[in-house]
Amino acid sequence: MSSLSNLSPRELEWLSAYADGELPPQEAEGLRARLEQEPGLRQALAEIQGTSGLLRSLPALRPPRAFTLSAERAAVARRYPRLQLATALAGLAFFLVVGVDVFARAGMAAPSLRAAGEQVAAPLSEPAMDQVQEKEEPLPEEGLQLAPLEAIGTPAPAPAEARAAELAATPSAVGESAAAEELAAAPPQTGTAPSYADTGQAAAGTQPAEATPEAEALAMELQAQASAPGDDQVAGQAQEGDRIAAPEPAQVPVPGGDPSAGQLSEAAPFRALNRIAGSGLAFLLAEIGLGAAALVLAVLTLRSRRRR
Amino acid sequence: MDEAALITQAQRGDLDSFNRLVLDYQGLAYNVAYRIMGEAAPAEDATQEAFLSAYRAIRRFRGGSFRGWLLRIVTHACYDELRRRKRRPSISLEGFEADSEAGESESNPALASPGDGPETAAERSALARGIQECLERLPAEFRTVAVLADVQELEYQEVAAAIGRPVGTVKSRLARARARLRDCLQGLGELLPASYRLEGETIG
Repeated sequence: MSSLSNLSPRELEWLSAYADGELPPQEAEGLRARLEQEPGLRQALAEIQGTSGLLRSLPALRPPRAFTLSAERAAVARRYPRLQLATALAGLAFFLVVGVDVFARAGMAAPSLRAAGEQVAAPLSEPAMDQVQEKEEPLPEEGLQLAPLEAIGTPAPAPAEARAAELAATPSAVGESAAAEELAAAPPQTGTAPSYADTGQAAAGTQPAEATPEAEALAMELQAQASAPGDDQVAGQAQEGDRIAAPEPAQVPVPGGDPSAGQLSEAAPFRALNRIAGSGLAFLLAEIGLGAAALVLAVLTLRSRRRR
Repeated sequence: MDEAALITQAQRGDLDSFNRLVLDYQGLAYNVAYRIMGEAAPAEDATQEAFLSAYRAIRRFRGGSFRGWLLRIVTHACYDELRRRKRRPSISLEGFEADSEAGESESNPALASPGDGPETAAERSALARGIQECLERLPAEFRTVAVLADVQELEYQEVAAAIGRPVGTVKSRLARARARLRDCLQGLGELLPASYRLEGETIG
């Protein structure tokens, strides 16, 4: 045990600073007087000086190499923090957009759709009900009869005439927003028509038995749409009866111009639906863009970091 | 060209000027890093990292002691490296091997005084390793102050700049570091110079 352990922290500090000539003159004077009187203190001072001397005796090591920066490394060094910042910002923006998207769908889409469902539920036609009931039963291989769903999910079905062709772009947008929902991992209550269309397509394909409650609800809704106001007119023009009735909702998004659009615009819930589909597309594009940007930046940042 | 001019040029983006500063300070930076890290390889990494950081930050240097400013970056780089190694302990195995290299570098004959016999050189290197081990037993913030003030013989003011703390903190940390080192060094026994051992004996 050294005599340093017997000192108070203050004494230790004084002695240490005194040994380095870093004690203010007044305090140094006081300590000098004490040192003359107290051999223990002198001893402690000698130990501090000896310890410091040992440390100073450590040999200086030669650096193993030059640490100068090459032009390339210097460029990377300058680029790295910017890349890091850009990556962080892009990532933040991405999660912000996804968050707003999910929030908007959860908070707004559900009520407006529910309203739409209530309004169209009333004029449900008899055959439509039959179809719905059919689906509630254990389904045979080709049981779903969801041709209309297929039609809404895919742009411009075969029998499309000039009018239907005109409108072809819109269903494709609807289809895309369904994809957007999948990407954004929307919460369960995000029951919008586009995702139904998607489910319907799948169900009408190879796995009819997996018709979910969502798909059933969708079928109801779509049947309802098929018999909604304006339906007859469209169907008449399309001359394809039931089969072509499905593209009719696709006409809803067409602004003004079309004669049948005036009638359709009375169906407010459809407009709400359309708004959601439209903003869904905008969100999708923003999410894809920001996600891709964040990913690319992250890769560049990591590469820079490795090369530093 | 004097240091101030080199700094100004480097701040304007002149890499050559910056590299001349690197050559001037790399010995100090590497030695500080080595004494804080205790191993050659991580000290090398920390030194390189410090100069890269300094290059990025040199535009923000606003005068004062360039050495203090640079050493602050070096100590930060060392702390980062220590944290990294704590998170990934597998590195310490490499470090262990590197440590033996470091031992060699301390026993490098080129560092021994000319005219020393082989035994003296061996003893010196054993003492150096013993001192280094005692340094490593100190908490990092005490070790840094001991390295800067004692090993590198910087003034308190400069140490304060390097650790970003007031001089009062330097004083107290250095005093406590020395007291702990003294206790540890006494364990080195025969390796210590006779005068130092005698100091230990007389206090009882």
